[in-house]
This record gives sequence, C-alpha cells and structure tokens, in this order.
Amino acid sequence: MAKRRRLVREVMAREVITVNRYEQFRNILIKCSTCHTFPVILVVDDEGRLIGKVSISNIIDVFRIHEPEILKTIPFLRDDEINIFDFDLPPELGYLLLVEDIMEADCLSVTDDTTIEEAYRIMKLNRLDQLPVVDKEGRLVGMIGVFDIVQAVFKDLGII
Amino acid sequence: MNTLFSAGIIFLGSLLMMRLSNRFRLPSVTGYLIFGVLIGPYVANLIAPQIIKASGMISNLALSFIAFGLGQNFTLANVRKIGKMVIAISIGEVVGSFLVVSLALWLIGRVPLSLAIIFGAIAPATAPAAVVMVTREFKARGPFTDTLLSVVAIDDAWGIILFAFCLALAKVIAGMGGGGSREIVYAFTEVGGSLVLGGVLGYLLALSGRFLRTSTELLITTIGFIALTAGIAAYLKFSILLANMALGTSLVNSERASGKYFETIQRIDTPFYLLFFVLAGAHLELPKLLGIGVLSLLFILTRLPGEMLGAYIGAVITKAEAKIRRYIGLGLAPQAGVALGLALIAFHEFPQFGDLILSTIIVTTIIYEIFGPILTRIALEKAGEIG
Repeated sequence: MAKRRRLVREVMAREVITVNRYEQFRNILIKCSTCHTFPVILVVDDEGRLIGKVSISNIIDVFRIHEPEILKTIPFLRDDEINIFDFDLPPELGYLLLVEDIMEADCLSVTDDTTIEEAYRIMKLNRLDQLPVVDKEGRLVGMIGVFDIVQAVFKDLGII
Repeated sequence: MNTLFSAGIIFLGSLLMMRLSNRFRLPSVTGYLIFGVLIGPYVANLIAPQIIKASGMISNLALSFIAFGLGQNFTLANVRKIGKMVIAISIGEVVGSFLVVSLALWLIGRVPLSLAIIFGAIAPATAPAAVVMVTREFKARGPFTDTLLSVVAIDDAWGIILFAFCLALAKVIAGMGGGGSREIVYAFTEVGGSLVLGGVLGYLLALSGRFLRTSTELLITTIGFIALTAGIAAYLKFSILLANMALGTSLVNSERASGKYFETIQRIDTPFYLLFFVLAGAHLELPKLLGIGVLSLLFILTRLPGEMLGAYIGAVITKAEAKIRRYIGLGLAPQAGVALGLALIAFHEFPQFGDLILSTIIVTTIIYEIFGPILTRIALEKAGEIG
C-alpha cells in the first residue's frame, strides 16, 4: 500500500511569535529575553500577510547597521571581523531602530498544502531549521520546523 | 618539494602572516602577498613547481568567485537603492583613473599603447575590505562614509567590465586578434558574448534549484556552473570575469531565493583567495624590481589623481555635498585583490608583457595596501566623520 503523503498543515505549529514592521528593536529583545535561544520572529502586515522575518543573524547585523547592504557581497570581508565586544551603539538605537530596518524581507516560506518531504528538502537546501507557512493568499498560518517533520516520521514508524 | 607539503606551508604560514599584518593594522591581503614573495622562487623557494603551474587555474577560479558575487548587485531594486550619486561617482572614478593612467604611461612612460591600456584598465580596481576595515577601526559615521562604502563596493564591477573591453581592444591593437579597423567590433563581440554566455547559464543555474536536495548538492552545482562558465568563456576567448558576473546577475534576477547560491560559495572561497594572493606574491620577479621602478612609480603617482579627478566629476554632476566631492577619491586609494587578479589574467593573455604587468601591479598593490588605508583615514578625518 502506498504511503500517505503528509502535508505541512498537519504537522506545523500554529502558535508563532509575530510582530508588525513598526515594532521597536528593543521590544523584540525584551520579548525574547526569557527565550533559551533567539527564535525566528515573523513580521506580518495588518492583513496577517507574511512580509519578513527577524532571526539572530539580523540581530547581529545591528552592529553593521551603518554599513550599506551592498558590502555583504564583496569578497575578503567576513562578519567575524566585527568585534561586538568593542562597539559603540547609542542607547536611543533601541527606540529608533524598527523591525522593518533589520528584517529580512525576502524570506522563504511554504504553503500549507506542501508535502512535508518538499518542506524538508527546502530546509536542507537552504540550511534552515524552520520555515514560515502561509495560505494561498500569503497570510501566515504557522511555522514548520525540522523537529516537527522528524516527529511526524517517528510517529509513522510507531516509535511515539 | 612536494605539492602537499607546499600547500601546508602556504595555508599555515598565511594564517601567521594574517595575524601579523593585522597587528600592524594592515589588511590580511598584504600579509599573504608578502608571504608569497618570501616563500617564492627568489627567496625561500618553498612552493612546489606544480602549484606555480596551477596558478592560472587557481586565479581564474578565485576571480570567477569574486565576479559571480559582484554580479548579484545588479537587480533593478538594488540599483535604485544604490542611487545615482554612488553610480556616477564610481563610474567617474573608474573612467578617470583609466584615462589618466593610460595616457600618462603612453605619453610619458612611452610604453606601447596596448600595454598602457591594460595598465589603465587595472588602475580603477580598489580594495573594499581595506576601506571597510578603516571605517570600522575608526568608527566612521556619516554621509561621506556611506557614500564611500557604497562606491568601493560597486566600482570593481565597473572595473571588470572596462577591463574585459580593454583586454579585447589591447589584443587587437597588439596584433593578436585580427587587426584592421575591426578593433571596437571585436571588443564589443567579446563583451557581448560573455554577457550572453553568463546570462544563459545563470538562468539554467536558477532552474537547477528545483532538482537539488541538499546544501552539498547546491555547493557542487554552483561551483560546477562557475567553472563551466569560466571554461566555456576561455574556450570561446570571451572574458571569464564578465561571463561569471553575468552568471551572478542572471541568477539573482531569475530566482527569488538566489541568496543560497552566493552564500554557499562564501563558505568555501577563503582558501582559494588565500592561495591566489600567495601565488600572486610568488610571481614577483625580484631581480626585475629595479627595471620596473619607473613604471611602478608612474602608475602609483597617476592612479590616485585619476581616481580623485573622476570621482570629483561624478560627484559634481550629481550635486554631491562639498566634502564628498573633495575627498571621496582619496578614500578609494587602497588597491588589492581585483587588481592582482586582473594583472594575472593579463599575465596569461599577454605573454610578451606578462612579467612586466604582474610584477608592476604586485609592487603597486603592496605599496597601495600599506599607504592606501592611511589615505582613507585622512579622507574620513577631512570629511569630519571619524567618531
């Protein structure tokens, strides 16, 4: 008998941390201050459509906020050349910097009717641990992570 | 001396030299270059001949990586974001240094026109990493710094386009590619062919994403396409650099999630760059240093004024503020990897002038990498943007 293909909507998490693009930078830090590691925060518009994401790399990029984005494309220059322990940033930056200044606007997502095999392939290919899930209209409906998929596979195998 | 022993010396020694040069506040590239001179055939002779022989392939691959990465800047959204002023200043700087250096070498240095054109086309290349290092070290902030960083990031892309055109032109002038009155047509064919080649392969690379399953497959495919583009370009006598830049541009415009292709290359490119710089240093013919003194001096003395003049004109056209007009060219003084890469290409394409071009550019790069960052700092100070 052919194996039933599971869809992303069957295994995804529906509780997701979201913010709007005008949220202040310091509020994100405060919101996540009790988190063990920084989670991926999804940015949505007033209609709930996914417009970007903020991950730990975007938070670290705040140390390069004064540099044009184009510099990321040049050779012989690596992020680790920034010494975050010897860096002056004005305290008011926490209020002045908004989510839209630091978010990654071109973030990958999958629709909720994608198979978990395809979602897993996209994550492996793009070295991501999780992907936002949207419906046909682009509205955010959840998040799927590698662990959700692995868990589903273990369930199918009867291990849990 | 066996190949692997040499490779071990190159990698471990370069790491030490990188730390040492950073201690003296010099860019890592300077350390790699000097190390290359030290272990090269004229001093310690620790590089296996097989590695020296492979330097053409290594430099072509390293430069293809650079060009591929630069190509991703050319999206409509990005060009809009970069803005008219940065585009005008960067093009001004490239054309200015090209004209001033070529004319000076041809009229004052009395070198053949084809050689003067090649030197002129290498002159605009700058060293983004060195400029960024200085702005970070001195915590520079402000409109001048923003403009300088954007210009230094984009000007090498114009420089590569100019070099591809000039190389084709110089080959015909030197009587190597057909001759007659078809020089310009030939140069345009080479440039156009490179763009079409890279454009088509970039589209195919974007399509390939649908069939890839893992990041390892992604890495292998990306390197494969870069090498294939370089190989076909070399076979058809097109520009390897321009074809790979077009590969990056076509990819970024045909695939929304193209970032992964560029990131995967950034993960593995460092050893290639390192080898490329050390081998460039090893090519320096120490016995001929005295002979190239006048040529190097002329190149050094004319490159910076050319950059300053061209950038000034670009800034005036776009009505940039006074401090940008006055000092932006000075901030662009450092010269490094791309210049060396272009010189290495010229070395292979122009065997009759190869040693002269490469040795001159190695010397000028070392000098500009030592004094360039100091000039960038002065420009930032004069602009009043050092924090």
